[in-house]
Amino acid sequence: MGLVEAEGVVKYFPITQGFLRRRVGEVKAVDGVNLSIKEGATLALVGESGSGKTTLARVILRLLPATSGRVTFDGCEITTLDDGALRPVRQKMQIVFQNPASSLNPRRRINEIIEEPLLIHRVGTPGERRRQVGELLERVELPSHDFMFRYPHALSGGQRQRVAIARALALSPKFIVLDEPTSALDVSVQAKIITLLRRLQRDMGLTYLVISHDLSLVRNVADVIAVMYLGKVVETAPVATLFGAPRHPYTRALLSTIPTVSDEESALIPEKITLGGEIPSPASVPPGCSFHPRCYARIEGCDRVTPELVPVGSDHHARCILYDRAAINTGEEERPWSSHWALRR
Amino acid sequence: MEPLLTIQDLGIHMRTYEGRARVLNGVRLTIHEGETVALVGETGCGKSITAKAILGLLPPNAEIVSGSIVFKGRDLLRLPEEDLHGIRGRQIAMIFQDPSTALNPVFTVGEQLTDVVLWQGARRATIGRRVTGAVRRRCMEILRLVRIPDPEGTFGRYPVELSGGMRQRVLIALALVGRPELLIADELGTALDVSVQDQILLEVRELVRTGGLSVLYITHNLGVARLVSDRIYVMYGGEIAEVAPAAEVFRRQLHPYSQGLLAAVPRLTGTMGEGIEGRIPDYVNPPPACRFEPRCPFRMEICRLRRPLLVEAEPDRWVACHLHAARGDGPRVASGSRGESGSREESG
Repeated sequence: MGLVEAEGVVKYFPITQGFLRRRVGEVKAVDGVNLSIKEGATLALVGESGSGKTTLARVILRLLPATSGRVTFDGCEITTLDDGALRPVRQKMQIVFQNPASSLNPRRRINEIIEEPLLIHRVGTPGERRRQVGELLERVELPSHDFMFRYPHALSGGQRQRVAIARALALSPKFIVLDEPTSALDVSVQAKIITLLRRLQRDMGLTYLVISHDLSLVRNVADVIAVMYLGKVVETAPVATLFGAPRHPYTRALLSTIPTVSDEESALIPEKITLGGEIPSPASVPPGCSFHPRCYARIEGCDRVTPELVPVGSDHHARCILYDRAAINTGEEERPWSSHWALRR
Repeated sequence: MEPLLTIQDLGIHMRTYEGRARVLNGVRLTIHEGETVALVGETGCGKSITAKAILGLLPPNAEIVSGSIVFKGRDLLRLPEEDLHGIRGRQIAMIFQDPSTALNPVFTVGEQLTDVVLWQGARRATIGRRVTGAVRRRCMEILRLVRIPDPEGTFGRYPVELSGGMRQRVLIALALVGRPELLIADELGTALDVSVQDQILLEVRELVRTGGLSVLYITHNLGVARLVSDRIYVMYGGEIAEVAPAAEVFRRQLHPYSQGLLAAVPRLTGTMGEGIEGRIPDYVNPPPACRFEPRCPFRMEICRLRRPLLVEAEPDRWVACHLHAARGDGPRVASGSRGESGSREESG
């Protein structure tokens, strides 16, 4: 059993119209997701914008209420807890946002920003808190005497992200959501932040949920990857398996478009597949398999049958009709699926 | 053969609240006909300012202190504004960075396109413009060229009604409609999802190949630069650090900054470097000689005394570093301390 478990998590946002806010439809941001994150491990959610990665993370942290489904954190179901009971649980889960320029209050000094979670949860005396802020700054490798009384605008992007990480660490959490933690930073700074995050994970036994669209980065930070498309997980596997033997057509296409910087890397990615079109709006999800209008391996039935996430290897699951035998009308002979792929390649 | 564009010793200062920022310091760049060049570097290295200088779109507090930008035999920096109108948007066009902000939200795609088409050859914008047959045909032609699925429908739509990829295509159409010879693409596709970015880059590469265009890509994404360009200029701190054919620079980098930058890129092979110590130079008080010296793991005595000039260290490979002598001078050996007195990251 993992530290964080999500079972059938669904999040729909209503689309309303007119003065009476009549409900005319819904945006299916997250549509039935099961996830399990082991303690001390890193799970990465990858997918294009609009695939529901951030919404899912917010539902897991209960920053948003789920439409249905259950989220269990450390053995305790948090989807139904009331606000009072949720408070102690909240201390154990934190989030670092994408853009440190907008996630830090420009009118607060660094020490106030980092102290705030401690104040909210009434931890320690003023003296203890001050000492703790100093320790947190050292932990993220910022000299505390220099930075304590500065404002965020006086810091570089990398330094600001370190402050955001220090704030997330203030309550000694077990679980941190990192929402595109380095996408606003340059590569040379990104490498520094990732090194820091890895060390913190090792030293403090943290569990991470990383949201990213950068597959090369994810290759380096994650233990398990879940690929999302239009609110559903389409493939999940340990990092080496997913990059070594991707099964879902979408994952393959995604991997094949990674811009690489060396020949060794180019040799690792699948043969070039260019997808047509763009990810549709989650307000009008295509029927059947939601990927079928863009899929290059489409077969008869893809537009009617909604495939389930089925095992395709050890710890490896994919949501595709090619592997989901139950979704196809049984009666015909078992099809040689592997040779089907061989043909496509 | 004469290059299409030659930038020589370009120096630009900006008047800022803190003082005079020396943002470009002797930038050199050439683009030959039909060539695709990428200018890569991190935030604040001066790559966008270089592009803006080519187009004459510098902000009012910028001052050109030295150099020339020669395009087809004419120095753009010494051309009167009137003549620049004949070049900007027609002979040199730019695709701006962010497709969600570069289009005017209150005009339809068609209105913005016809505006540019009517500008062609006109000294002033026409008043009471009517979309005549030829203009409309030209618009449809260009929308089809950039593979917009429903050109007739898109023509009458507002930018908000389009997806990110479609907006990016409209921006490309706006740049190509004047049949430019040089295209400047600022972070093309980096605001888009990878699968769409991939489509756009491939399509532009195809357009460039068939249309005989020359392109200057400005990007911070090294993977994208490798995919699209023939030659790469690595920029650091307002200076050109290294110039090399794209294929070679990814195999072996000469400048310590390029080495650090490449090492910091996360790899699919599962390796990822440590990043570069320190932060970009302060442009108001830049390091006296080599601007990379404070962060350089190979710094030597001379790096603080004399500015390294861009020299051809190997055939077709130029580098501005004291570790590399000009061809024929014999190699200098890397000596000196390996970052002993290294300042901690970003604490400057």
